[in-house]
Amino acid sequence: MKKAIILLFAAVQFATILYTNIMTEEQSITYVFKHKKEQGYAYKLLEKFPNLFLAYGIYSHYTGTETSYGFYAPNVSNQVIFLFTAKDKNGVPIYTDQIRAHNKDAYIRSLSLGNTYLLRPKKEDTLQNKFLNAMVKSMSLWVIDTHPGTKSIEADMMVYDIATNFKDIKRNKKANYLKLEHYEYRL
Amino acid sequence: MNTVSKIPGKVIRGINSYFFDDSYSAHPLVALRICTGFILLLQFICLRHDIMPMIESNGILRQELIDAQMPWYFLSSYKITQFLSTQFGISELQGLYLLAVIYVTTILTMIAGILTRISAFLLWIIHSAILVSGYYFAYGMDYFLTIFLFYIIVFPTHREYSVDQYLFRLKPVNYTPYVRILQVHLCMVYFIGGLAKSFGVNWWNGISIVKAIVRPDETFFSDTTGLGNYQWLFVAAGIGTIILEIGYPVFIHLQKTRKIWLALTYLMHLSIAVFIDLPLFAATMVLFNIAAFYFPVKTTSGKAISKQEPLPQLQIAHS
Repeated sequence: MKKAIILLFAAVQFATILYTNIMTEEQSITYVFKHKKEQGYAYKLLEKFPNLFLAYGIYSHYTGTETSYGFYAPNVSNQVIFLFTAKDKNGVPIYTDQIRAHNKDAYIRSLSLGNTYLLRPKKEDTLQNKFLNAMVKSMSLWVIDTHPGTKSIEADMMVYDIATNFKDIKRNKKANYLKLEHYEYRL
Repeated sequence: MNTVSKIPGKVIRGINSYFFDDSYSAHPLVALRICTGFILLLQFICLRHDIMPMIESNGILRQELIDAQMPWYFLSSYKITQFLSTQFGISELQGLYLLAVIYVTTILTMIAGILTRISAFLLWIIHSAILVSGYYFAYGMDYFLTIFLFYIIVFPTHREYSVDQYLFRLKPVNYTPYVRILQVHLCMVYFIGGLAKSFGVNWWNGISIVKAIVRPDETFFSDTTGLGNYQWLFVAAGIGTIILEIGYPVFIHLQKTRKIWLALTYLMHLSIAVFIDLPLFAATMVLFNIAAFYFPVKTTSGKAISKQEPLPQLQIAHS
């Protein structure tokens, strides 16, 4: 009986890991090769069975099997960063920087926030876009809260653009920041 | 026909032997429990000044915003502090400090093996809750730690080298099925990782390695100056990573290649620690490798099998 329970647990665990990865990798490979940001067949198939979908969601979340293992795959993406410029009542900048942290690990975590914007849908009115805009507003509010005297703030979403072939790397082509979006908020 | 009819029986015997032969001591599971505790402690120390803005209600991302995005069954630290606030009148800050105290205490009790499963359970709940509140600040390592905590609750990691062993007079059990689950899981991690990378053209021409190690203010290199002279190295590292990861399930199971594959895997994670500046993630993955594959199969007398010793008669008879 105990053996059967262990084997059943192993089967459920491995099946969950496998299905999570099929769903995620199908989506990311479709995005890379077809430039389409949409859920794949595996996700849609699971969605057809609401109870199973719910059970999968709960199980994978609490067992940590909700993440896929295609780290840095299929290709490594460029780094997206946010640059905040807080200004006083006269429009003089009092802070221009990213959101900083005391520790490197925490800083890398704050950068992983920027990667959420890489898969941003192009249509402006989508719910996801509204949510991503609200996140920028929230970050800006936090910069205002932590910098007394701020009356207005600008947030620039930028991508760190480095040479993507060895010809350019050998020529020492300089990396630079490309501005993707600009946001402004006033108190 | 006769041969075909024997196949299910052979498969069942194979599975039975792979999962249930008494091949492993408690060491892999004990290493998992103790080292997970130390990594969690180290992570807590590293993030102690920065964790609050990531999870408090008026932090970098407003928690109402995160909460609205998450399914109802995701328990967040925000929900816990809201509950404590309405039920006991505790402020959010007090609630978060209370969670931090329980978190650190349960890490220490888990390491010592005091009421291990209860400690790991509380730790797992708080860790998962913090992970939800700090969802957009999380990366792979956090999910692996959730998995480890889940395994520590489910697996008999507390039966040896623990206070529980003396308190409850626990006897050793067959640890092999649990170590095998770790092994299969880790093989899936690397195989899937390698396969996903193999679809990306930039892993074959070395550019992905360059992009991974060149990030502003984050990694060992902040621009590509001078890296063009080492194109061969980046191409080799990219292709080598794919081969190492896809080949992991095979070469880690072969007695002759296990040590070299483990060493190469450690080297890959050491490189991640140094060049991508993710030492805690590297430590987490090294721990996974140690728990799954570092410890040798024991003999019938309980001693580890060395390279010189022949396999004991009983094990040959089983296979």
